[in-house]
Amino acid sequence: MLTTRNTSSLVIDSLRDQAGKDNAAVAGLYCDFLLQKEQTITNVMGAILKQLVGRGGIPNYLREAFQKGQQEFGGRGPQLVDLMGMLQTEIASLPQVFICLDALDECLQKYLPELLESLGDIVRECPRTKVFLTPHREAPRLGRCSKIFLQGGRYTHQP
Amino acid sequence: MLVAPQQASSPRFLQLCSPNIHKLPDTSTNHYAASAFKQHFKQEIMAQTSLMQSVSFGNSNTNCGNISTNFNTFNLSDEDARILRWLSPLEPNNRHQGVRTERFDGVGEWLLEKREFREWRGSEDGAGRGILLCSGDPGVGKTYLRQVE
Repeated sequence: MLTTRNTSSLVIDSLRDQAGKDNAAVAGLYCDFLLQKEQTITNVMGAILKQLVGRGGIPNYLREAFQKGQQEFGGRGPQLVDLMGMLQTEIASLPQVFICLDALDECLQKYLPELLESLGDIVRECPRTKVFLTPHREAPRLGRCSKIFLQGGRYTHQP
Repeated sequence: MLVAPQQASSPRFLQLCSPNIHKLPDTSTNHYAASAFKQHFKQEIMAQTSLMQSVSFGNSNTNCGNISTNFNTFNLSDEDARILRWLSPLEPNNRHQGVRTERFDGVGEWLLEKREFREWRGSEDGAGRGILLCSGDPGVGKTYLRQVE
């Protein structure tokens, strides 16, 4: 477990080093058994967006969504559909985006299908997005959800 | 939109830390309408507990080869900090700093040199090949890299 984190943090740092030159943005998140309750799909997507925005200040679309959420009774958190729209808007404004999710299968199993589906949607809708995932288990064992994007591809075994 | 005085973040920071927290802001200089003031004061109180925390995020414009400068930490206005907290309570960049300080040198570095990784990272367009899976545990020799089409 520790070593996927090791690898993911290396990848995130390496991408961020390069991103400075290319003006790309890198979002990274470490899934964790201990944070399963907090790592809901909306919180994970929100955390990705949080890392992409901010270089030019809070964008207007986000400020408006926040204010709209505040106006509702008791205040309302961002909904997945809103987050997906905002992510697509933000990614469209960036030359390239990397999203790294470590230990994907440490998030609650019930969130996994929707999480993978949402990531798949982002990659399909925004071709500038590249996603790096380090599940502990082999991809085919992630279950039915892995079929969403596991078509073809190549395996390389560590030397 | 709520108009809060942003013109002087540092003095304001000091103001909130001072025991005179209940002192009313100078309305003559801030030009508050009464209702806006009421809202603002409420926000001030709410912000007390959080303003001192700085919010850090990755700033990709910063790159000078020194890894520890990849993040900029700066103070945001109350509302901006609230917006980011509203977006998600998770703070992955803080976590990243923690993970990286515990990192074992050399472990996992092979991945950065792999052809699959370099192709994934360098391709012009992620369309169709945007997802790279590194499954298994890179530390124990059972790692698979899979580029997803």
